[in-house]
Amino acid sequence: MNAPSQPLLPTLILLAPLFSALVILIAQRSLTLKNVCVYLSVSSSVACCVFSLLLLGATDDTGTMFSFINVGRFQADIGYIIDQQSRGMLFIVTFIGMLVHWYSLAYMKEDAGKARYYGALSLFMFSMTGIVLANNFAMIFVFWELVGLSSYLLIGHWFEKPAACEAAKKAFLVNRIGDFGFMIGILLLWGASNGEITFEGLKSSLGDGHVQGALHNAPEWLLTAAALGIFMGAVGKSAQVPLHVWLPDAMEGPTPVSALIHAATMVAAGVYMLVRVGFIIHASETAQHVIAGVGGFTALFAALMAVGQNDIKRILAYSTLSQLGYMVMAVGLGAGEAGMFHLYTHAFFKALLFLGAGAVIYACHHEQDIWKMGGLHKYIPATFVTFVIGTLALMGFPYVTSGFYSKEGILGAAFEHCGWLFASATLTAALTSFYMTRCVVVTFLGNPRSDNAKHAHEAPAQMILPLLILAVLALISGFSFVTDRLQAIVPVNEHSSGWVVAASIAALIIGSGSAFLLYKGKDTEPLSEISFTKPVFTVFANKFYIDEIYAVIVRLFQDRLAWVVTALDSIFADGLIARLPAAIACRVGKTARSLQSGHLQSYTFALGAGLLLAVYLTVFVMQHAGH
Amino acid sequence: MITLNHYLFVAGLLFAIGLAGVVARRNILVIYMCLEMMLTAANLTLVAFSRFHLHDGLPDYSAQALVFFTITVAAAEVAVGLAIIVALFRTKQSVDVESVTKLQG
Repeated sequence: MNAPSQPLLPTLILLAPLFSALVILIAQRSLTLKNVCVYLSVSSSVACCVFSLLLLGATDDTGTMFSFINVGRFQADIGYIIDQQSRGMLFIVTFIGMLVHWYSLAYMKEDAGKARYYGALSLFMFSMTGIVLANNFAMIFVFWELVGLSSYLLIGHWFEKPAACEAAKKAFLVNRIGDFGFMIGILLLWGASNGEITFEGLKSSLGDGHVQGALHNAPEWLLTAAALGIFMGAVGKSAQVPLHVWLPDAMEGPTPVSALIHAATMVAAGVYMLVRVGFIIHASETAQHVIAGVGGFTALFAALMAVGQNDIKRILAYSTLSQLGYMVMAVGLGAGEAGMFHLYTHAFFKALLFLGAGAVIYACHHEQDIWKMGGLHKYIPATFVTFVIGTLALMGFPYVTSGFYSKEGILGAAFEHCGWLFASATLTAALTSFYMTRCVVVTFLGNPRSDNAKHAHEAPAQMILPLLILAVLALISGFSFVTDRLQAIVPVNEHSSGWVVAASIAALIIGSGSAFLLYKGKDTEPLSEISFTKPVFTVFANKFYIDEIYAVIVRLFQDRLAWVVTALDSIFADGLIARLPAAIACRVGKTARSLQSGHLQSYTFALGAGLLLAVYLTVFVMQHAGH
Repeated sequence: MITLNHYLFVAGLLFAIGLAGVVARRNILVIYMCLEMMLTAANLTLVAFSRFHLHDGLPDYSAQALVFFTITVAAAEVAVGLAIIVALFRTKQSVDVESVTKLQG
């Protein structure tokens, strides 16, 4: 590549949070240094944000920061790419990261483990910026796993709660399944391209007209398999069906964590990576169809499940799943820019919604069930207004919100390429409006349904300020004067068909209107009372029983598989390879030991026999050789 | 005619009986005597070879001189060996060779 130039800004952005995490690792047990840890982490996140703002004006560049593996011909470095995609994503990650760090100052104020929390947050910032800056597959995989680790630490922050521990384990394990596929994809590409793992190298190996390499001659099935393997990584990280089960459970973590990791940044890493290696996905038609199908299905499936949830964070979690499905579907349809644009706007309004939910939970003394809230618009007006703005952006309120433009981009792509997916996406949009309106109406409007709601008080300024900032961004970030400055990727073809706009507005009106009419003034879930909707509603509420199905599958297969593996192990690994040589050695030893009888005459006999043998050999056998 | 082979056969027989005695007897003094018998057999072989390989009509006296050496060595060995047996008897209070199995592993 180029001479290792060690550019300053990307290195600083990567290393500042690492430094903070390492210091906190050492200092976190100390009671006196607790606040030092907290402020160190917050300042490192502010520094990262400042650096990434400085980076917004930089020129495109790629190179190496540190040499990581250098073995023979194989070289994997901690490198960096600075192009429009990474600059924009870096801004989102560091900016929302900074807001979340700031918000957590108030949210986690009384928490005893806040130093540990901030340490894990710093580790997360380090890992996420690593993914954004990565210029080769080895680096992105390493940081992929690190992000999974940070997520595990943060979901399981309140580890005294068994549910949190279970959720953290579930997140990590499900992610690992996706990563297995990811690794296979990487290895396929590495092998087929004769040792290239940088994105640049693979792109030129695949061939962009002039330059062609080994990958260009690779068979179709190999490229498809590699693309699908890499997609598996995105399925795990971005929680697509069937590996979506970890994201709702991840809501056991503190709410700022949900805002940062499970809404705005980490789950978007899958989409980011897919767009980064879009050239591989474009090489295979099959892979594109599969990706679009999975994305579209996830969007619809998650929206159905969201309708039946009663926990405010779960509703938002399923909403995230659904929007991620949209982004993945866009990538599969070949409209990666539309997917990235939606990622960018979604980061703002979803973080807003989650932080707003955090403020609501804080106000209601850690009550999360929406049917125990109500009437909050009187008590916490600032939170109410910002939450409504976030909801409007998510629903895609026409022309005013950023969500409208990004969703229109995706719906336009679906309209152009596949009618089924367009229908499914429109239905999902209607459902999105439905459940979000349901959420707002039940939580904020009407009358308080419990004491906690009656005594709700507004959150402190440290929590409200990020909400206000994000609300403004949720409104304006769709417009070009913002996207140009912030280097966001916006689809070039802005003018989509009138049908698309009409469909999206119609979905919005139908969804929100019906939810408003259905839920206004109600104190219990109406759908579970009407007899013909009740069974359907129960299925949605129980998440289509997928967790239970998985548990049965695991139990069925795991026990049998464990039995087979144990048998193989005890016969071959244990018996043949370990016990058999040991038994042979014992037996030989016992036999040899019997020669040591301590009996004088046995020794004499052996001496005589040996002598006889020697004489025989010398006189009668060596005749041929010696004489 | 009594040839060399006859003497060698007798010597071999003596050696074999001695060896059998060393291996098969339990009394250590008897084993010792059989050991002497084996040495005697060796001496007999030497004298036989001396008598039947003639140099200018006379026997090969170098072999007979060697016999003297072996007798001397046997005597010295008996002295030392009996000393060991007496020491052994002092500890074990028995001349049975089966009682000496300390080296059993």
